[in-house]
Amino acid sequence: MARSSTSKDAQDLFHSLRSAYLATPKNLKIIDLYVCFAVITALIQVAYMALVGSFPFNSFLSGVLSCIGTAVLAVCLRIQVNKENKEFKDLAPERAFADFVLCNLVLHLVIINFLG
Amino acid sequence: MRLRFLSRFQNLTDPRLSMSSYHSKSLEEAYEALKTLEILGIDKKSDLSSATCENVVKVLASPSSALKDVFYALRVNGILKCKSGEDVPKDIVSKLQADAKDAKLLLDFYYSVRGLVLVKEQFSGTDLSLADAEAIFRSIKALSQSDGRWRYSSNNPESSTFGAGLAFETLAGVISLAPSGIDQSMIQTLKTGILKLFDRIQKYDDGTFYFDDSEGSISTTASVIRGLMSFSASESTGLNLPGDKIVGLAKFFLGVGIPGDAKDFFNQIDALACLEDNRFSVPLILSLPSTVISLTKKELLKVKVSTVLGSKAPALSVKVAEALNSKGSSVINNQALSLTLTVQRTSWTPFPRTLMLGSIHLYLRFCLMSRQMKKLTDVGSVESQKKLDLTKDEAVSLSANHLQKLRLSFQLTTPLGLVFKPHQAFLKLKHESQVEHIFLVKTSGKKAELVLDFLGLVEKLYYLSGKYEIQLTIGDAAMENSLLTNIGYIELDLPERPEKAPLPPLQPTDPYSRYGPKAEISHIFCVPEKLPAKKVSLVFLGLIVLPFIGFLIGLTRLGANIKSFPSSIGAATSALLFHGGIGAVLLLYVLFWLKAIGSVHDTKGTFFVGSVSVVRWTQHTLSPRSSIEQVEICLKNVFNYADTVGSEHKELPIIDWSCNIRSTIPRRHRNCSASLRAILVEDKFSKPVLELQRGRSGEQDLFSDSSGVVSPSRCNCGSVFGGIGAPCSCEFGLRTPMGSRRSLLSAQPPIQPLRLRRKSRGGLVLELQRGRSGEQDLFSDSSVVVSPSRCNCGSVFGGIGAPCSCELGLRTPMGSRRSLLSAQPPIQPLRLRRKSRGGIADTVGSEHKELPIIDWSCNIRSTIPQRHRNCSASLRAILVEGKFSKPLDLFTTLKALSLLGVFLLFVGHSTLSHLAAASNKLKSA
Repeated sequence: MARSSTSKDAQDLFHSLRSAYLATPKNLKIIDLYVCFAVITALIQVAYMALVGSFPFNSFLSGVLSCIGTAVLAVCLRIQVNKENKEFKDLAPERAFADFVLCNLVLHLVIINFLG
Repeated sequence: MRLRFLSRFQNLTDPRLSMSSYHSKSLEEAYEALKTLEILGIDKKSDLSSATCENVVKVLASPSSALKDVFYALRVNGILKCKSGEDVPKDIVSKLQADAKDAKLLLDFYYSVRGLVLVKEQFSGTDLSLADAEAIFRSIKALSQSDGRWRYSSNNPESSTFGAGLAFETLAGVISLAPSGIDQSMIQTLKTGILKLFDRIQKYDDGTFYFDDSEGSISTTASVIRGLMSFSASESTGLNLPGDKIVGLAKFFLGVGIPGDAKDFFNQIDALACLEDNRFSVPLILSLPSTVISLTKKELLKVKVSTVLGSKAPALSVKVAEALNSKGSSVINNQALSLTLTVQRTSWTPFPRTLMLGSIHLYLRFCLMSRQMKKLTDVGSVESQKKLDLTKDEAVSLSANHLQKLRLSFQLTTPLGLVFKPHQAFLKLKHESQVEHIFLVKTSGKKAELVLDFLGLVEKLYYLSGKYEIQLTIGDAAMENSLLTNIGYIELDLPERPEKAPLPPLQPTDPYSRYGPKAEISHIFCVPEKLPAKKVSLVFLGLIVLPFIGFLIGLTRLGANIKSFPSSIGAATSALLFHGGIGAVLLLYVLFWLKAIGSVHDTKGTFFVGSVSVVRWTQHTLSPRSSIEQVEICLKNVFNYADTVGSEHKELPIIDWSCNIRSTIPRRHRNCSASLRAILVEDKFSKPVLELQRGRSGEQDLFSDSSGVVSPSRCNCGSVFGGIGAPCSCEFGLRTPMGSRRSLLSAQPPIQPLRLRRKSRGGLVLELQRGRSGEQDLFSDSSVVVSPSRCNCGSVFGGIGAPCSCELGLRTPMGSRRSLLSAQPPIQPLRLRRKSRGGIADTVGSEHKELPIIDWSCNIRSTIPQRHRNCSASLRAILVEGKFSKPLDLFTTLKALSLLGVFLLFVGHSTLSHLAAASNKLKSA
């Protein structure tokens, strides 16, 4: 009994989360998708490293850091673009996106050099 | 001095000596009195001889006389000549010989051995050699203590300094009586014993030295001095005693006054007599007879020099070292007012009128006039001295053993007669077995001098006895007629080689083989890391793509708006270029990493990428910037020859490398300070190459003088950020072996190839090539030390294409870095190049391809791993970027695309912000 109520609670929670998330603006959803994509890519690289070893270690590091870095930048973008976040209400979303792109460029410039 | 002694002696001792009856006194006292009188030059023999002689003859005639009596009788006989000539007392001799053999006590040895010496001196015509001299020497030596003192008997543990003096006298007697010489090593240990005894010397504050013992200081010191004198007289190699101590001992006897005791007085006089005439050191007394000089009377300053007993000093020169006036300031300093004292007095009037008044302190310096005498003090006895006239064809032949020294000194003068100090002077000893040793001749003052102490060199000479050739090498940049001449021979007699001593190195049978190819020294690179199986990598590549596909699907599912991707032609182009640039970089790395098409830097692999720029390679082999007269620039088409060169290079060292020198000197680099400057050329795929070869090149030898030493120096390879395309230059200096840059001497070594290259992952490879170039072998020594050092290979940002430099040091066998001797190995052509991954990047002109360079042989190859990149030295090589070839390869294309993308992004950003501002304005309006 307790178990079913727990699972029911979990289901309710999940549904409410999902319905709440459905209300999220589309652009934020795209960013979330991007973050997921980056993090999963990083995880695959970590798995590869665990499997075959970290020999070109700088390559491994730059691959993972590229993903994590871009995910972090995307999160920052999401914070800035979110309409409900009053802190950045004066910041145009275009500006936020330009920042995101610029930061990504800098990040990847470093990463490419680090790649060796 | 002598008169003073004499008067005192007569006053004090005459009554005791002359009045006493010699019958009742022992012969010992008689000897002491007679000896004292003899030294002082008082002829009292006539009054004393009759009675004493009677006693002497009696003692010598009786076979039962005590040993001591016999000894003193002989001593007295030596002075009074009571008995002489051929009339040898045979009984006495056999008694003394038997006693010397059987003696156990030091005094018995002393009386018997010295007695025999006296017999030998006084009676001619006897063969008085000690049959077992060495055994007697050893048994006397057995009584010595480690501190230099001696015991009177083996049972008595007490040792005495007085006894040491007696022992020295006895041993000197044994040496002079020995039929064949005593073992030099035993004499050597005795000498060290004497030096140890001098460590026990006592000292007063005024510089007086004396020995003290239970016998009293006068007897003890006199005994030691007598012993030293006898020993130094009997032995040929000489004693090296500290001069100040000998002077201190003389001071002791002169300062002790007249002793009240006749025995002490005898000891004092006898010791002074010994000091006056010995073979180790003669103290002198300097006195100024008058200390007040009147200038108006034109008085002369008189200096008197004498020995301790007032006899004539040897020839001396006196020099005023310094003269100080009463205020302490120097009026004459080291003035060359020297004059010879041929007699014991001298005088001169050297003072200038300016320093006349007041008291003046004079410091005088003495120099012995005779060279022989000087050497007695410094080197021991000089046994042979030879002068050489180099203009004549003469050779010296010397012989020496390990206890001797060889002193060589010479002086060079310029044609104008001035003293000339050569920059480098070497002495070479060459044994029959071709083992060579080089010694540096030091130049000090006017003379160049070298003293070889063979005792210290036996190990270095590998204990090789035999004939050594002496060769002298003198050179200087300013010297036209540098000298390499055989002086002569020295026959060395060195001790046997101990077991542990190193064996002499094996000499090559063929003297030319030292210039032949040497075994290759190759660096072992670290084992490459294991890479995963290709399949695993491909699976994960697929896995990596999956999230991206998921991302794209997600975008479509979400209905992302991609309508705002620029649609106008200009904006769409820049956007596509931007994304394409990033994508291209990624693609490049994917290709690179997977090696799907081979290395990115491999010319073959990326042929399709680079084919766009192939046109750029159809250049002339000679750049318009180069001068044809002096320089040949050899370019080889990388596409056609890259691989063939690479493979051939491994087997046949550079057969088709036929640029004869030489280097490429673009016009704009002509005004460098160094005489040879080389510019390296970059090949298409980022690896610069320097091929500098000096040496014989058929008939065309541009360098009439092939003796230069190439030392690449001063390289300038752009900034760190220069990247692949940055120009880089390097200078090479031609130096003479003497280190001078500008002038080139004839008869100098050819230069040998040096090769430096960078391996893809393994770091730098330095190849130094040494070799002969034809029959001209000018060098007699190959002992140069090549030490790669100080390498600087760009920063992290430089990446694969960054410039890299490295220095190599050439050292002489003496360890000197800067100069190379004429007797040194040739230096080799320098070749420097940078290798790309797998491919060979060289640029050799095809038109020279047919002329092979025969004498390229890779002899030395070493590598400089990354961790050694910052070491130090004098050969510097730099990898340089070329000017001929900066083709747009895939890599640079992609890089340019990325830069363009960034630029467009900035433009786009500013446009966007302008638009946003405009729309905001519109909205607010």
